[in-house]
Amino acid sequence: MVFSGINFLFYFLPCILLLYYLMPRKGKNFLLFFGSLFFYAWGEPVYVVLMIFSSVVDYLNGLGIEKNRDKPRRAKLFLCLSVLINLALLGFFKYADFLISNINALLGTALPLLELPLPIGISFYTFQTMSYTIDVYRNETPVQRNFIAFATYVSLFPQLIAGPIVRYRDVSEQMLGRKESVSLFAQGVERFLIGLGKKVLLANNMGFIWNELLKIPVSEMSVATAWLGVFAFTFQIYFDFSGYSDMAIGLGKMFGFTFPENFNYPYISKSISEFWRRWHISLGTWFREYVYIPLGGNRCRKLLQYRNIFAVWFLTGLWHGANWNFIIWGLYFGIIIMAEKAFLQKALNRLPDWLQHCYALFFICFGWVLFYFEDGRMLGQYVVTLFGGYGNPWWDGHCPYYLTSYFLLWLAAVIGSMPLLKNLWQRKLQSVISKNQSVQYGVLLSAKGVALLVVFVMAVAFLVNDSYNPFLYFRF
Amino acid sequence: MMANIKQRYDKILVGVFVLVLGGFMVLSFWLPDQSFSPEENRVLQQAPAFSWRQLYEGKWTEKWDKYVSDQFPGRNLWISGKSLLQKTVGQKDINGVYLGKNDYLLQKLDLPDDANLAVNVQAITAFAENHPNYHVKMALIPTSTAVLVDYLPRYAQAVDEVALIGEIKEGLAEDIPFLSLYPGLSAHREESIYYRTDHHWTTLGAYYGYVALGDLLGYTPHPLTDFTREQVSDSFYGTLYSKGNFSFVPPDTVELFHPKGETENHIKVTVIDDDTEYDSFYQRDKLLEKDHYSIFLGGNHAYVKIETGAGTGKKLHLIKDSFSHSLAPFLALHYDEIHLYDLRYFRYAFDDYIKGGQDEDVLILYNMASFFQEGTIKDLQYK
Repeated sequence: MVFSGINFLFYFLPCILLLYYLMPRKGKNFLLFFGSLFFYAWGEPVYVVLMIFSSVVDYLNGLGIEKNRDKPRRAKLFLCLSVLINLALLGFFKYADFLISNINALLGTALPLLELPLPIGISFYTFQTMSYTIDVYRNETPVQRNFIAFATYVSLFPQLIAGPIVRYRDVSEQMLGRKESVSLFAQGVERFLIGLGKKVLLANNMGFIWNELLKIPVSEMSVATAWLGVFAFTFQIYFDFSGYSDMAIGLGKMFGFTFPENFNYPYISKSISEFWRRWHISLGTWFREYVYIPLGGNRCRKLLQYRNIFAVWFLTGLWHGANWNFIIWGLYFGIIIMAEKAFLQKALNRLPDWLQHCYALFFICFGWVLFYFEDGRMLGQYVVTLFGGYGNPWWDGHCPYYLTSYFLLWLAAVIGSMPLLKNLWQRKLQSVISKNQSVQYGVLLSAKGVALLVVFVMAVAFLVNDSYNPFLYFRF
Repeated sequence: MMANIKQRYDKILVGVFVLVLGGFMVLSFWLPDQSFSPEENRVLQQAPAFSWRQLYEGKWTEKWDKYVSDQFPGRNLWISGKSLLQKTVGQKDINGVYLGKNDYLLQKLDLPDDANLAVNVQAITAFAENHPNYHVKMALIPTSTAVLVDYLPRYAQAVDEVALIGEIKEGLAEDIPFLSLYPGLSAHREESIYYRTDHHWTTLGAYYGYVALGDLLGYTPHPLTDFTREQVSDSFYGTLYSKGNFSFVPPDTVELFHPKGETENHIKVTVIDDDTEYDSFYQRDKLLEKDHYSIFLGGNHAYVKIETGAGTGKKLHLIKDSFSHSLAPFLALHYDEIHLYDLRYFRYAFDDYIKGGQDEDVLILYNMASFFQEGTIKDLQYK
């Protein structure tokens, strides 16, 4: 099930909210667990077994580690078991075909592909359960003896499909001791509606432009149109993914959870290092905590530092998809970040701010080209077109058409990528509160409520109309 | 004080949100399910019957998702509201339809697949070669988007149908006489030759098509003054309207052209599909339905035979799309028999139907959109 669908919004969500608040405290996790299984099994009834398996395995491994605290070797065995099983699951269901096709290409063999459909969210929940056993092993979080509480954490439907990757230690206390409130619920509604608007109104429409532009044969595409397409995809992927994270965080609040943030206006970054501190924060945190630092991080010899960066970015790329373009995309950022660490950042600091922004945006946008095209030949052709290599014209009619036809969308996307509105709003709210102007305060809040309702109504109108409603991060 | 306001805001926000979610669920269960959407011209999904097997295969949930979005309360209102919003913020095309000037809705076609186009062209050449005794001719009708370029929104980059027609002509065997209806229609683009809300040509457009086809088929067309015009509908909302429920566009009118001084008494239209006979080209009861264009020959059929009292001793076989439905009444003035075949439904070999020879024309007549989107034209090579 996806959040931005009629079935979720108007059937699943009201039902589970009603049941959740009717349910006595003791049964709330139980309900969330079964609700989440229902959510997951919707359209994917078989793979739900996989998720339950993963939950059981890591629950037992957690207990095993805890029981063998005084026998470090045995505890380590349980940890290795957990990591191996999770990686094996992920490897088999996500990367087997990639491996087979590479072997075939390399050795000229003709091993058949498995062609298994990718279990939804497997990249997310395997990483979550690994965070649990590793943290229990490191004594950074207490073991969870209540299976339902643990299984609820693994399967929790708000973040199940596309993150954020919530580490167990961030919610361990909330699993049994969270407190729902009207104020938290209201925050959740706000956050959810903002996310829904980002996804349905901005991301889907940007995706539409990108798809329309892709229909133009590369040989007939002007340089400006090619870049316009890249910008459309740049906005699409940001609003799609961050909108989904907003919806997840908002839904979490409705059930009394507080999940960590996943995005912090990544497109206002002035360097690639900064971009990755603002983009998919939960994934970056995971790799830092469980790969980069254990490898020695930056507290080792220079050469080893670079090896560590290389490893993290290779894995980051690979995590996004079982294809070479994702690996290239990851390493591309790894190389830029190494360069920034070594010398580039010092040089950048001397430039005016706007040039630093241009630098970061250029490499971010170009990165999305590597990310989008899984087919190497198409990638090559598009890149050549971007730089006018085919002698294509600089400008054509598609550009003014899509700029004028979607003028407000472009404007909304640019403004929505910056903290401008948020800052204005908070400054205004602060000044009203500090002056104790209750009437203005009421007006401000009402305006916000009405604006959110308008976004909601518009999003529903688009959802009713649209069968065109793909979630990009489904593939991962 | 401030805290109270915040609390009240929180309560109202949560209340409204929950009420909207739950309200629509209750409303959708309470309202009766619709079985057919005339606006979209399709059967709507009904509540799927539960079976474990379907659930296991993921089909049940798929049908349920379709069911709830098809039966969403006020579905048509939501869609027209969305279209109105998009128009208001300046969007120039919605759901594959350009919002043209003068309330014209124009198809926004994707560039055709070159391979599909080539296959269609080859199939026609093969068809002519397989039947050397047939007088195979071909003509193509441009869409309103190509003819009414003046009405397109600013900067619109529509498919160049004129160039495509040229390419198709080049690809065709040289001995197949070919006609583009573009010049004949374009000369009259100031007149109402296409519907504003539908992709078809109007009866006037069909008349100019008939005039242009005179050279290719070898008849002398009657002048416009030989016809009396009868308006039969002023409330026609066509296929392009349906793509987004464009409530801001007024409806079309539908006309019939009757030859002066003649009656239709000697016309016999036989729909071979279900073996029904009519004594007119026009099935006026179709005006009670949504698609008023179906008044012409009653809409789509696999095979329709028209017998006239023209007394010319000539027959015409039309391998065609629905544009020919409003054209046939004009052609009937010059042929004793007209046979209309729709390749989407017609599954037989033509040799059982076409004798060939001097007095029988075989005309392949398509509008550009169906010519490059239709997947059944390629079957001609086997028929």
